[in-house]
This record gives sequence, C-alpha cells and structure tokens, in this order.
Amino acid sequence: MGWVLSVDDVPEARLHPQPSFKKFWKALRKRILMVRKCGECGTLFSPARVCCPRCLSMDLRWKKSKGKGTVYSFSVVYTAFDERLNRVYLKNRLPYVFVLVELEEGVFMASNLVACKPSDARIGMKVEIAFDALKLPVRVPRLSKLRLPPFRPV
Amino acid sequence: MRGRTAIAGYADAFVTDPRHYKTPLELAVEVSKGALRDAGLRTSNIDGLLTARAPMGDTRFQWNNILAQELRLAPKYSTEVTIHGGGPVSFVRHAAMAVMSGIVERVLCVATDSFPAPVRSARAHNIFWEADHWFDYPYGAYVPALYGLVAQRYVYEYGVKAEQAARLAVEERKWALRHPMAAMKDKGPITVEDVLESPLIATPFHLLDCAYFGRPFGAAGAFVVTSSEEARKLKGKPVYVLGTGELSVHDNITLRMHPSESRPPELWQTITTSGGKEAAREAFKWASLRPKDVDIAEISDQFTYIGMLNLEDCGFCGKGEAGKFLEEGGADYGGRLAVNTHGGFLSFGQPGIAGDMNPLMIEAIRQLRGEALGKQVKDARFALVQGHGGVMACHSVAILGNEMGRAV
Repeated sequence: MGWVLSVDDVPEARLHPQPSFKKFWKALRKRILMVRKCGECGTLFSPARVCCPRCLSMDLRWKKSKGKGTVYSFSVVYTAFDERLNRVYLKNRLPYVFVLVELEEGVFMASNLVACKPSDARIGMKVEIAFDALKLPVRVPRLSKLRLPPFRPV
Repeated sequence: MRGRTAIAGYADAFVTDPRHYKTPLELAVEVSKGALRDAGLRTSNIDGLLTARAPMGDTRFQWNNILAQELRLAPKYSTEVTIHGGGPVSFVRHAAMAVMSGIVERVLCVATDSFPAPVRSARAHNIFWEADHWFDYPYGAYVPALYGLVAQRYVYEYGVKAEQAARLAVEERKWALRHPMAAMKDKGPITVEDVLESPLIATPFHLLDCAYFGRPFGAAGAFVVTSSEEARKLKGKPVYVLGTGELSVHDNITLRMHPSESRPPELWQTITTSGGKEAAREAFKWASLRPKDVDIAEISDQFTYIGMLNLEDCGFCGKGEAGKFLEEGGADYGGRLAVNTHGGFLSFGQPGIAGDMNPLMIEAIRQLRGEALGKQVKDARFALVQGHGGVMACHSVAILGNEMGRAV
C-alpha cells in the first residue's frame, strides 16, 4: 500500500513542561538570565544541555548571568523560503537578525538582535539582554509560545 | 581497506514533474531492482541492507525494514545510516566494513526522497529541524540563518569576498545546463553580478548562493557493495572503494562552542571548522592518494560559502584559501578538477534525503563508469565524494576509483 508519513504530517514538537526549569522561567520573569553551572567542575554552559560538556556530570545548578556579551556571529534574515512560511510562521516579521551571542560568562546562546538597523549588526558588537523588548511589537519571529528575550546593542 | 570492496551495480530514478508523483518507497523499489539488474544479482543474493535517514516524504521509523519487507529481503545486517543527511556517502564505509568482516557478502544501499506536490510546509518543517526547539527555534533559527552564522564568521575570520563565493555558483551552473535532471538546466548561465544582485535570503547568502532545496521533486539511488573479487565477476563495471573517512562533531551548531576535554580545541573553539578535514584525511590515507590525484570532486554545497569550506577541508586548497582557489580557476568548468559535475546543490538541486545520493554518490559512480547523464568527464580514474549533514555537523568522505591504480 502506498501511504506516507511526510514531514507535512509530523506535528510540531510539544514543549512539555520541565520541572527543573521552574527556576529558569521564574528568574526570567524577574529579568534575570540564568545559565547552567556544573555542580562538580564549575563549568558554565547552555541550559539546553542535559549534562556538563566538560565532565558529563548531571549535577546541574543555575548561575545568574549579567546578561551581557558580544555578537559571535549573526545572519540577517530577509526572505523566508516561501509565502506560507512567511505568513504562518514568521507573521511577516522580516527582516530579523538571528545572532549567536557569547556571554561574558563564556556561554554561547542563540537570540535575536533588536533596537538597531539589521544592517548595523556586526561581529564583536557589545550587546545586552533586552527584557523590555518582550512587551514591544519588535521584529522577532515568535515561532513558539516560549517568551525568550532578545539582545540589543549596549 | 583500499580496493577490497567495490560497487558492483547501481541504479537511479527521478521525478522531474510533480504531476507524476511517486512515493519514496516506490522510487526505492525501482532503484533497488535496477541496481540488482545492473549487477546481475537477485534479491536472494542480498544479505545486507542499508538505507539513509527516513525520507522527508515518508518519515516512518525503521525505514530500512519497511524497504526490506517490500523487496522481500531477509538481511542479516540491516540499518539506517543517519549522520543527518550525510548517510549515503557513509554507505560505502559501513558496507565495506561489513563485507570485509566476513559477516555479509552483498550489501544493498538505498536512499530516496520525494515531495508530494505542491511543496508546502515540507520545507518549512525541515528547515526548523536543525534547531534546538527550546532555545533556538523561538528566534527564527531556520537552516539559512544557521548556516549564515558559519558563513558570516568565515567571512570575518578569513576575509572571504562575496565575488569569490559567487564564482562557485557561476561555474557549477555550467555543469547543470548540460545535466538532464538539474533543476536549473533551462535557466541559462549566470554571472557573478547575477549572484550578487539576486535577492538576499539570510546574510551573507543571496538567492543564487543557496541550494535549490526540494528539487528534483523526487530522487532515489541504489548500489550494491561486494568484495572486489566478486564485483569483477559480476555484470557491471566495478567502482572500487579506495578509502572512506568520517567525523561527527556536533548535532546543533548553537551548542558547539562549549568546552570539551575529549575533543581537540579546533573542533569546538570556532564554528568555521568541522569534521570534514579529518574525514578527508582518513579517506586519503586509506586510499594512498592525494588531492591532486583526484579527477572529480562531488561535494556538498548547501550554500556557496559552505562549498568553499568543504573544498578547503578536502585539501584542494588551504584553510581560508578557497576564495583565491576559485579566482584562479580551481573549480572552473573544464578545469583540471571537475567540481560537482551535476551542477552542485546550487544548480542541480538538493532532493531531501536523497541529496547526498543522486547528486553526489551516484553521479560519481556514473562518471567513473563513463555513464554520466550530463557532461562526461574524460579519462577520470578517481573521484572524491564529500557529503555532510546537519549544519556542518557530520562529514563523510568516500574515494572511489574505476581502477586499483596508484597515484601518478
């Protein structure tokens, strides 16, 4: 029988609640960005990991970040692949700046860059987290229900 | 490893008109039968089966077993090879190991994909898979933006110029114009200016810097790997597996830059390096060949700048020197080294999961057997195939030859 389960049929990932992240979201609501700290070797890393990248320990703690860093790399998105992607997923919020930020703590995280002309984005630009931007109709894609703040130039 | 196994038969199939849609499974059966016919084998001779990652057009689990059922095979060695999309190039590595171990004698390797028309959210969904759903996806991390991070940093670290990257697109288009299955075969030649004036997609990529993802509408390829002794006795002209190499360094580009004590610093302290260099080094070592012995290079170029990084990693030029290499005609159509004889992903297309199969592996096999669908490279002896999956995550290199000869 010739049936298929195409990528069109695969549902979006369900963002099931993760109990260990309660502190992360609580801190974010209080305008504090937190990164992971290894309970064994003290290495700081992204909250997206489940264990320490240096020693593989699963004793994960949280550490407050100053929310400042530099743009390690970026890409200014001008065009979506097709009209449907543009309309449905990105809601016409183009162009937007996708960045990889190197926090002062040495942790890398993806984000958007707001409060400047997209064409002004530069590698090495000093940035800080823009909690206020969460309330403004800024040009960020909003592809999921997660409300993660972008960065802005310092 | 050198020359102990060979590709004894192959077949390919394409869907160029979406009105004549065929499912990935139908295409896979077609090419499996074709490869067996080409080798003069029957399904009862096959004891190993490798398929690539499940097709985007049919993402069911254990896709290898779904195909085995359809072909009524009963393999004793059967698995999907899923280094993201780079599986098809790794087929020969796995198959060679299996045959050399003595556990199996004949391994059928199949990759397939097709997109039902019209192509809609298939592309939308795929292009978000490479991102972390919690920490990247909300920021609009789609494939061009993720690769854009790598390319923008490459420009910053090595001073790569847009005109240099565009040159790769210009030369590859010339091969596509002569290939009956290439997406851009009727679109005419392009100039560097055409590339730079095409609309910006995600910096630094203009439209013509990007692969045409989702074309051809369907593609599938299959080949059979056996021992070289057996391949010489079978019907098809053998294509020898001279060397293979592989290295996977991350899954998600945004999680790459974290300290690790188990990996050398150059593999996590920057995003402009990848496993490509080590994969090529290993393949050349097994093959006892050097980059200048290679006549044909089929490399993955999802974007022009990425093709440049891959050319450097394969050793055709030094790190950061691909711009100069291209300016001096290193990848010119008709030059000493034939680069992407199908037109690259840029002008041929990247047909989903079959992307590393039809344009890369099957094209190399066809060229070495003198059976090219498009322009035939004359007197080619050795071909290097370099595929990668993810955003510079998993690299795989295969060096094939139509003879067992030594380097010149």
